Amino acid sequence: MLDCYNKKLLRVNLTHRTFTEETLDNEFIKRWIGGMGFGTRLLTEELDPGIDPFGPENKIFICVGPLTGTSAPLFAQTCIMTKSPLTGGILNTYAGGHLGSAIKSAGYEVIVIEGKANGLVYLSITPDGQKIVDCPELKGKPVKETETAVKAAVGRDDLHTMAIGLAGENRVRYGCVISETRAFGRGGAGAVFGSKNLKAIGVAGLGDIRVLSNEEFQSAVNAAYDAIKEEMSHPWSVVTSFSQSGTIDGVAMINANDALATKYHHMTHFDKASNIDGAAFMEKYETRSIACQGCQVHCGVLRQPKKTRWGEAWTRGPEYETAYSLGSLCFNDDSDMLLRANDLAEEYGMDTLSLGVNVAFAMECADRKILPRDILGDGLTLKFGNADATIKLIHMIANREGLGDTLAEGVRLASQKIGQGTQSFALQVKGMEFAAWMPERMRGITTTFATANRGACHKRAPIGLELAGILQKDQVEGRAAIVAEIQNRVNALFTLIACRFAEMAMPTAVFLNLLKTSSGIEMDEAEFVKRGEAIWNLERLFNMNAGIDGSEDKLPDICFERPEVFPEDAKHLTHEDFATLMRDYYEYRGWDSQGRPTPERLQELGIT
Amino acid sequence: MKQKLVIDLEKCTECRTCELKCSFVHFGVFNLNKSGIKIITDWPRLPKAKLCVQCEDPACLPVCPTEALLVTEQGNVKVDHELCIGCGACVDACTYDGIWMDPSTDVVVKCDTCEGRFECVQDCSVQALSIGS
Amino acid sequence: MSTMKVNVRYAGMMRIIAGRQDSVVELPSPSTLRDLLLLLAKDLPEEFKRKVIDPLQFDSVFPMILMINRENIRERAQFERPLTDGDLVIFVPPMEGG
Repeated sequence: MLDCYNKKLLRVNLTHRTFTEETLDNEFIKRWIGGMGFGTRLLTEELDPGIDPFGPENKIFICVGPLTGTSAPLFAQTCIMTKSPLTGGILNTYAGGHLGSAIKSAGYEVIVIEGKANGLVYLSITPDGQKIVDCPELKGKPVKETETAVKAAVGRDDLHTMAIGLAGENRVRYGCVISETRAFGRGGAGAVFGSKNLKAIGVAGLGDIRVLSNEEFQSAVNAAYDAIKEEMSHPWSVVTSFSQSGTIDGVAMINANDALATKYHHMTHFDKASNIDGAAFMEKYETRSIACQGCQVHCGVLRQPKKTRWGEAWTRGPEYETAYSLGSLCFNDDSDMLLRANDLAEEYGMDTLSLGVNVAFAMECADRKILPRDILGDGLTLKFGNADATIKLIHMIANREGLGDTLAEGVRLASQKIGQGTQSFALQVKGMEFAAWMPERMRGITTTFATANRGACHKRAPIGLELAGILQKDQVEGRAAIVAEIQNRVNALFTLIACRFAEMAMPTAVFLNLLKTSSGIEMDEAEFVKRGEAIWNLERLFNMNAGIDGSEDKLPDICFERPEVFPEDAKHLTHEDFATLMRDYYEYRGWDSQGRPTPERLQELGIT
Repeated sequence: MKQKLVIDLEKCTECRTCELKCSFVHFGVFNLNKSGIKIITDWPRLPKAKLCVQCEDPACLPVCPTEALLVTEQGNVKVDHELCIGCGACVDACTYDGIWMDPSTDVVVKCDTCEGRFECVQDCSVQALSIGS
Repeated sequence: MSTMKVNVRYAGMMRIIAGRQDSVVELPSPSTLRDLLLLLAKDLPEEFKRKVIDPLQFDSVFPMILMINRENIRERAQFERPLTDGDLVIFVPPMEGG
């Protein structure tokens, strides 16, 4: 039983430079399963909700799951949890690649980083020992150079790494952690690393990863392979599209649905979208597909290095969300610029979504004459569609120069500082910048942006159903319940840790069978989703105690104003609709009218 | 002519499914160190692969002091992990980087074609692996 | 014989397969969506017929790659829908984004 678990937690104290190993007991493992389950339970137990995210009391929880490091396809992700400097609330962020397997074979389920180092350090966890190494020479260094340097310094070919760039070191509130082109993108985990003077982590392991029953597990994996093959045998399955070009062609699809935010939220359609969609990128740039460990879908589009006007760009992507935030939202249609911007975001270590929204926000402020157009200096004009200005701002934000210093705080704080009514159009919820979706257009997005525990996150919305028209985009009735169910389900999936595409490729029964044959943990779908609901409520409680209550379940005023270009036959979002959605949502979740989980519901979920 | 595992590096996505399958089939665990095929990332260039080319006249075979290298029915060299003492003579003898020391066990590991079953081939989602001779 | 004109757009990867971006297609009036699909299967490169029209007609899982006037076509029965002059037909890749 529980064969696939190491059951070990490594606690790293950067202040005292100590390492402690703890055991996770069986009851804990069976209850919380792994990944986001472990992370949420530990974080909510160990962190006072009121702490400063940049203070030494904040902790970083790096978690893997029961299927990490096995051949189960689409389960290569690692989960990082911490208190977000962007929202002040609980953060869960994920990245794929090959790092999770290294953590597992190093013998750990969870690595907890505590305290703060007295100088810039990297952490190495290898069969040669655990070390905290001073690395002042890496200060300010870009991510790829850092990862290469750490690998060379540790002297192991099998080392996998994660690192921050200048943005994390400078505590840009959406500074992220990068692991070998994969990003723990949202919410500012990189800034937390920076606040602890933690530049990078390198992990290697020689340990075996086992499963409960080899024969049964192999059958379960074969069933997963069959499901994926079946799905990808359909030439126009979403999964097939991902396997060919990642998510970038989402630009074309969402544009066709008149749901692509363009020139901030002035328009829902971009006439120049065909310059930055999947076809444009596949035609212009030499690309090959790379995969996370064990994955059959290989959605990663690794571009060959390309010279651009702003320097050489070598990057994986850009993905759809980036083509929105730095593309259509900024009214940019220059694919070279997007490539270089994505590369810079990787090198500086910044969430491309939050980054782009901040750049677009600045452009909107300039458009409204709230900021002077020449504020960037260098003879550049801050205006929509200016690729040079976009690149300049990315540098300024990472370096916290001039306007960049204000925008590095995120649009919520930036708009508070700038004032002059800018808060009404700052695209954020709870401090987290919008993901690439328009709440004005899709009610599932409306609901999940307003209620997601980590802020305006799209990862828990019925996107496919609304885009396909199976759910009417602007219909309110029944929408909140659907969103709440997906939120619960996705939380449950993040305990395993399933890639966000896993559900599209395989039915839930396959996941549960993989869990059962690897660990012996058996449950039906309803119970599984309920575990996710419990985690959701734990997150909510933490946030409430951190001062993020039901009054933060809201959208900026701009979402209630009809854009200049909006589909005629579509109903725009009204305050009444929004109130209905929130009311329905609280009711479905068994929360009171203020959005507080009731004692009854908590008891039902086994939370005290 | 012996059969051997062939990899098309232009198709390889570096997912390591082959490595996972290999270690599982041979050792019953998932451990990339225990795989007889090794994919080496070399971004932005194509990956490299370490893989036994199943020589007609294997240089590794005669230098093993403990007879830990044996020949299967299909004619491929296979490692008996119980007999291997990790001396590394075979690693030195091989000019193809086809056999190497597994740091997790300190004995050697190589592709032995799974007695002609080539278990990794069907699991490669991009058909980068094939059976050649 | 009277004719009508429909606007056909090829979004994203569809553009590469069709070998074109936008076009105006003239059809006899009345015509159905099926008539348009068959016409395009004939007129466009073979790859388009093979990769787009055939799956639309025959794939066991109906591909969500066709829109008329912002409405998704979700089943083959809708191919009998009569077209109107000025309709916008979009071939679009089935993405979700991330």
